[in-house]
Amino acid sequence: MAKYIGKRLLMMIPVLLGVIIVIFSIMYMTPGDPARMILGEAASASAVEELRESLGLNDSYITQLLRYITNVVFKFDLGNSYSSHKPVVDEILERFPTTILLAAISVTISVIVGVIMGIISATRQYSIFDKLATSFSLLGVSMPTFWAGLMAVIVFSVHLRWLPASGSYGWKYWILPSFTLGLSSSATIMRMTRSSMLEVIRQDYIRTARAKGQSENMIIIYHALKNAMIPVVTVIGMRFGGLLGGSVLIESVFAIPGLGKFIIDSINMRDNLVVQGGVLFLALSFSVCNLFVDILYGFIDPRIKSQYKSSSKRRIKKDEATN
Amino acid sequence: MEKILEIKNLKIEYKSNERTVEAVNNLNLLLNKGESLGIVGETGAGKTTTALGIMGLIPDPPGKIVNGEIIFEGHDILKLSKNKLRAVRGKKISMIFQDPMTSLNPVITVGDQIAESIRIHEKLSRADAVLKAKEMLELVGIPEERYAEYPHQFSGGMKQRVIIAIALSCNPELILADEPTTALDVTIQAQVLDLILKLKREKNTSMILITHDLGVVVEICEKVAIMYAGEIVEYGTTEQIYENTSHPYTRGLFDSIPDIDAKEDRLIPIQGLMPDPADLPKGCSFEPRCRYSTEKCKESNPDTQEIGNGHFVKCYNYIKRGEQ
Repeated sequence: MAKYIGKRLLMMIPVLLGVIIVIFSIMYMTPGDPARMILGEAASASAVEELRESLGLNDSYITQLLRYITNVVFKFDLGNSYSSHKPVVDEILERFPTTILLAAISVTISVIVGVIMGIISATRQYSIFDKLATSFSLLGVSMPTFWAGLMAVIVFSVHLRWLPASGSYGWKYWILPSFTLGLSSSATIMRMTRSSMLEVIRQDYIRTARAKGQSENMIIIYHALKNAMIPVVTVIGMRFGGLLGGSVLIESVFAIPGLGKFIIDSINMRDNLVVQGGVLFLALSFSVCNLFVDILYGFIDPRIKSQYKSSSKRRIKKDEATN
Repeated sequence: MEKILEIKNLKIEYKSNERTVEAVNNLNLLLNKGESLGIVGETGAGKTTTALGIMGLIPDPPGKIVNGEIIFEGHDILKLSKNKLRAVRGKKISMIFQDPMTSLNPVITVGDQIAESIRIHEKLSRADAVLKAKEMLELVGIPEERYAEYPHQFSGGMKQRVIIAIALSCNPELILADEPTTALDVTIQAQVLDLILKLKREKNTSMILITHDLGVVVEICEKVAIMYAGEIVEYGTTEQIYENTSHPYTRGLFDSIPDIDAKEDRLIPIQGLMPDPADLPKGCSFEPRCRYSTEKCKESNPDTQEIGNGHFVKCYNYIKRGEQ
């Protein structure tokens, strides 16, 4: 198992290098001059030129790319932000907890709502509840989150005045954004749970459990759920990984100072180093998230766990054979 | 002899898109305590459906028990409440399923799957249930150290042993063994059958053995029921069925077994196929394939008649003793 995890961590290196090259190239080719953005429209051409020189922006593409990679790989240095002059790493770490918190709360909401509704829908297939849940999930996937967020603000903040519309100064501020995000992802999770459950409850081993005299509730909880969880966990993991960087829209709607909003603002300000660092960071957290999901598979399904083990065993055997 | 199970006029249907499949048709069956009954018939004859009906496990929808009574130890199983039925399942009647590959839960250890049924029916602590489950494993010839392993770590024969251990864990009165050896290779088949027989003798359990292997039936069963298209066409003791085969279908089954002493180039198969169970013939359902069929067989479905002491046959022109 440890060997498997180690192997997967090593495999992240080329992925992250690729991400660096792609995002660096995109930012390099994007029109607009960071130096001009920093100094403003009023600055003289010579001042801009001087700043470009000192930031190293006049060097060739390859020189700049190699310099960036060297700094990242050997010094863990993502550079300083052009606008705040603080290290990019600090800027990201300052905002990341907010983003993680929002992602965690909304994923928790979506898992609770989605999995429970999915199970009930599957066990009472074609019932009124199932039909309502299906329409709810259709609504959930069809509504763009930013629009749902705006609607939530109109209803709960403007008309009912129950909850604050934007900012992050206390737990009340988290309710609208996390529920908007959570409910919209719960739709996908619900669909996945439902279809996966429907498949599992028709399996022979469920009949075996009934033949033992087990109660229906225990059959669902003890026998069916764990078997139905693999595709659901995949969706949850993707969703969480996506939310780490993808709650940009919701962060913007509710003015939450998270990583997504920070990256968007930096793109507008042509703060290249922040954008590159931010995207790299998101790619890293997404990869870690995926690895975590894959490890989780092993705990859910012993057959997958034995594959993880046997793949490293096979390698040992092969090594022995070559020696 | 004390009756343990009596089935009267059982009729089970499967409904799908306006087609109604009559899987079991007016089935009557009697089983005494401690007896073994073999139900023999080709695929689709309704053998498994009958067993699932006794367990109350017919998937509804699409299946439905339309008519009949299943009287087990004096109570009609079909009239039991859900909770009472659950108390019967696994405790009084248990079932050994056909396919060991799919009948065990892949994410639960085999030991826990045995302990589960013990925990459901017997007031035992978790630790005691585990001990009993380990005993059951040893009983079916699996070392108890393998308690915490998962089904994928077991071979097919061992999985079937685990399923047998589950079925026997609460000392049931009646075992329904649904083709327990079909999915296994021949050497393992014999082992598994010996095991079932041994355990059955030790605990004086009654058993219904569903199979399409007449050889297995002779070895194990005192009584035989031959099923065809949802009906029992011949029923009697094993001797009666073998020595005095009366129904043309049973005759056909025997004829299609190769005889080790005779030098035969070809077997004698039963001509044709089983009728579509959604569209059974008006008369006898075996008539289209029957060598002995007459006009009367086409027009009306024969009643079951007793032709010897406890030997029943459902045929107008059954083969009389010595006529073969």
